Amino acid sequence: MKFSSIAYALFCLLVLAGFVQATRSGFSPFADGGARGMGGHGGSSFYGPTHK
Amino acid sequence: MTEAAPTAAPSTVRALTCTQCGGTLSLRAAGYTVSLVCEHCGATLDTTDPQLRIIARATTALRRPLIPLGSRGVLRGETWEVVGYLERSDGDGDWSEYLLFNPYQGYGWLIDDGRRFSYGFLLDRLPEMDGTQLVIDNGKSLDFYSGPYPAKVRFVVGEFYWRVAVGERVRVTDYVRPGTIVSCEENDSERTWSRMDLLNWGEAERAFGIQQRHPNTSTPSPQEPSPWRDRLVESLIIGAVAAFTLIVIAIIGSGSTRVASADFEAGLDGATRTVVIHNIDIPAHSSAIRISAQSDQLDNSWVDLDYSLVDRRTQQSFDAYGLAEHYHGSDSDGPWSEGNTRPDVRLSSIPPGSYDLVIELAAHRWVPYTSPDFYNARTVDPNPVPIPVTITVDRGGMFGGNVLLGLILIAIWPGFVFWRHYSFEKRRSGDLDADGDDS
Amino acid sequence: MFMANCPNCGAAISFRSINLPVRVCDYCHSSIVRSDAGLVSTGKVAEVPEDVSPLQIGVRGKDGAHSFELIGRVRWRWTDGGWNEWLALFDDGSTGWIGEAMGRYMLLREVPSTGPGNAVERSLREGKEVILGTEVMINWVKYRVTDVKQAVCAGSEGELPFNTPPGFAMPSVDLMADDGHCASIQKDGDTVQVYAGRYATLAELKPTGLRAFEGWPMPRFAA
Repeated sequence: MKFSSIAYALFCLLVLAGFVQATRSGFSPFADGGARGMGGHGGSSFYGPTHK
Repeated sequence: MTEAAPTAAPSTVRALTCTQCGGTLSLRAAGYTVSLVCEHCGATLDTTDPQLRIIARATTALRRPLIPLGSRGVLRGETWEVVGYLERSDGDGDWSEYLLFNPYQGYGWLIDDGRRFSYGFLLDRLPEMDGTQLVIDNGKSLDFYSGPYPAKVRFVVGEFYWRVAVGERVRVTDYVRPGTIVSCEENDSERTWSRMDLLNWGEAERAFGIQQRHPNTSTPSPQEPSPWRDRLVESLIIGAVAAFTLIVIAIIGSGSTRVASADFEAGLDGATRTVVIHNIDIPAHSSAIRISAQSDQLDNSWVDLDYSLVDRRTQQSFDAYGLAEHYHGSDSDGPWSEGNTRPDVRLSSIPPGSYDLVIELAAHRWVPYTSPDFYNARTVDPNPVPIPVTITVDRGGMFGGNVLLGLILIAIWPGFVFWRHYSFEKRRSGDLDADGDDS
Repeated sequence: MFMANCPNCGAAISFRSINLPVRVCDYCHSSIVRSDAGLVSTGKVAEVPEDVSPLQIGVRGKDGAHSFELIGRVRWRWTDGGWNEWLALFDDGSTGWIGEAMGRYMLLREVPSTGPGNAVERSLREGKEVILGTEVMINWVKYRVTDVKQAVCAGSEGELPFNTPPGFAMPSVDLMADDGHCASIQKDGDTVQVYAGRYATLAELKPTGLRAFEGWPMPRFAA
């Protein structure tokens, strides 16, 4: 087994661990709001009808 | 009985004097060698003639081979002596061939393509064709690589078992598999097959005491195995297992619990209404919250939904905005409709606690900019048409963005390895478009 | 083993085979012929030139299950080289030839001639040219002619089935099959002889008693 493959396997383990933790705590950088999400209204996010 | 054996084992090397220049030569394979090219003056001598008749004189400038004639070395467990050297060319590139001799093994070849060394032998058994592939006697199959192309001897020195001469031509066809080339050489009177196995970097240099060459993959030899192939296979296996595990976790963790559901009414073009859903509990650990609004009766209007999830104890508020809308009309292309009447808003990492969801609802009629009413100031309708809105709150669920991000992270390394392997293979097969950088 | 004295020089010489007619004296290189009148010297023959063949008289080996000992050798030469043919005496008294060229070995046994023979035999008998690539069947195997030479005897030693006077020459045709089988058809005087067998590596012959050379380690396969 090449060294880079072992390093990659550890990396995948980290990704999976992060994913499990995010799932358990409901975390996501793609959320519309919340403790860690983007968004919130006013300021940067869009407000109002989306059609002319 | 036989004659008494000599008390000392005889040497295989015999001294001769060149008929042309008088220089001292060594004959290393007496009985097998047919022509000997003098390393001092380049004359070709007939070793089957007791007078060592001159067959030909030198036509090219003398060169010294990288591995001197007479060098002995151990390659893959066998001892070999370099007895002959020739340089051949196919019109595009040149390569060198060393004729190796061992009295108990016969002849072998060491081939130098300028980068890599290969170890070659004549095949005793003719290979067979299996479809488009060539099969040799150990069962391995090779793919056609190139040919027939002409190869010509450009320089020769040392001793050979055939009447070698500068300018001698053969037609060559090559077949490859990772690590091996099988070549068919033919001229008008005979056809020979030989098999050449790629030696590892440094193997030939250590065997014959010449300077080590440094590994590089800028111009791979035709039979050179890709240094990325093993890594590619391993990374694909690890990546597939990781991706599969990620998806399984996602499926397991994607369940959500309904926490609250309530129906409200917004007033169309009326005053903003504030409503509250109480006692939304998040036990134990922080969670994601999905707030879904559903307002299917909307028509050419929209509802602004300002959410505030407020912790009853700390009064900390998590805010978000949702928009339910629906429009329709008709234009030159025909009737159209658009808008989402069931918007979802997702909040992440809400800490455990007891919350109230405060919702400000404001419904508005949509006026197209072509209408004369567009520039009128909006007035609040004191008796607005009620627009029903259902709000449901769920705890948990899976963010699709997380899954996608995880899969992308897992795919980065295999993607990189695949790209390196693919560009190596393109360079190996002689494609000139591929990258030329070293690994 | 039968010992006798060379009728020419008186040296002690041995005979391993019962019925081979010729023995080259190891000391004076006369060709001794066995006849009803006893041993007769028929003149000197050329000494085998020095070479670096690992085989020598006395080497024992195996062809599959059959053991043999090398008891004689003829060296042949042609315009572009030479080769050795070693006479192998098998334990059952029969003989075969081991052709040695370019570090490759051909184990050949005589194929008894029946009737007019194949195309190559007929051409040789009639003195006609043999064409490269001609196909013939020998012992149900298909062979192709790969080489046609005029072979001149360049020396001989040991016990032999024929006499090799100076200048002795014969046409020799080599044939190859696709599967490692090889054959040789020769015209010795007026008789055409067919030999067939296969290529073998030195290791496959399981040799013992190989010649030792200074600076060359004995290979692992040689006892």
